[in-house]
Amino acid sequence: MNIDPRVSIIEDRLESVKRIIAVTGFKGGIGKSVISVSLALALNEKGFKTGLFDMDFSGASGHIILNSAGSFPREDKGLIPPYVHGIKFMTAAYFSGDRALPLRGSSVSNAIKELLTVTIWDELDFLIMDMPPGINDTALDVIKLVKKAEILPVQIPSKISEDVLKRSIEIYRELGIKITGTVENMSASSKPGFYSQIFYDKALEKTLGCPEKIMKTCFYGDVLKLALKVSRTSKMSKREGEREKTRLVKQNGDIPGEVKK
Amino acid sequence: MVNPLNLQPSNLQLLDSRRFVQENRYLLSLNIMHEWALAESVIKTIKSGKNIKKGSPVEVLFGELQDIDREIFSFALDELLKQEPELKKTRIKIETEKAEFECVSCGAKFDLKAAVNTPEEKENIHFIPEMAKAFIKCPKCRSHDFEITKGRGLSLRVTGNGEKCRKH
Repeated sequence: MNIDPRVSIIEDRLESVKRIIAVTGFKGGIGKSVISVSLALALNEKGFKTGLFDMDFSGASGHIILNSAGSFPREDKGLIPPYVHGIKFMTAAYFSGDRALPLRGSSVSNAIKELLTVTIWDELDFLIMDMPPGINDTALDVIKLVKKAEILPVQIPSKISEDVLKRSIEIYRELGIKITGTVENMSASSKPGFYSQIFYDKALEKTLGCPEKIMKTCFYGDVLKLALKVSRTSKMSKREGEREKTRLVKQNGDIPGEVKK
Repeated sequence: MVNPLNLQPSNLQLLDSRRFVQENRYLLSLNIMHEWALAESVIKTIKSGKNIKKGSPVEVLFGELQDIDREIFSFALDELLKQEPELKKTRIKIETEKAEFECVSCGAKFDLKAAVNTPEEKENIHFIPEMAKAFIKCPKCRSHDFEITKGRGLSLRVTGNGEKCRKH
């Protein structure tokens, strides 16, 4: 009988990560990656030790948004993700370079297990996982292997996106996965019922690849609000939560959201 | 670890650094290579007792594709085993499995020899064997859509008879 030893160590590798948030969505092109990167930047800006893991191996884009050219993991009893704009960043793009990576399901699973096994994240307050669209091999592997992952679903104001999200969320609920809250991206108007709304910002596209410019957009202002909400929706104990809330209020005042809308 | 190379500043000055690194690659890399993380997963699996009866001889299979450094991996295993007295008697044998591929498009079967790689590509495949899909093509139809049917990476096999396993 052949045994895969890698799965036994994955939980240990993530032991010192306080919260793992899988930014997911059920259609492509709805802004998951830009939200993931910006959320990681925002949490880091607010003083949280943050990591970002681009789980979309075939369609990796975090490295383009962050402009991580020239960075590469360091080997030290595993792979140590490099800091890119203050975030510990891991992506398969380090290894595939500018090549396309055509992966079938079992290969996706293998690659995920490999990187989860050898990546040494060390202590983190948040690890943001940028997921590929849909409930596919990656999502099922994260559910199976990363027990403390919670999901942050993204949708856009579109019937199709909304409908697919409703069906998919049901599966996560049935599996008992924590859902942090649904984010509407590219919003046109304020609507009740969303955990967070990120308004359409036509200036965003030109800033991709330059995190300093991303951080000056209205889009980022909305993500900053989301980051603070996420950091307050904590799995921490009540006492820890109160302490964290006090810390955040001291640090930030009230939720800084009034960023140039 | 004691200083195995007796590195003194005066010694270092006399050395041609490139030759020095090449000749002592193994000693210099003992504690830094990512093989250590893989060895940890092997020890954790054996220690867990899941699917492996305590004391059973274990065979570690290296897939040719991943090209795990046997010496470094063995060193890591030895060091990790020292920290686990209950595994003192565990016998571990290391075997290498040849890599085999089968093209999904045309059905051709090929091996690693047929797939020419640069050292940089080999290094990337070493970290994640699935990177082969980016760098290797079917020699017959040039498709990247192939299955790694054998010799991908690390796996464990519990051997029924311990007699054939020498102490690692």
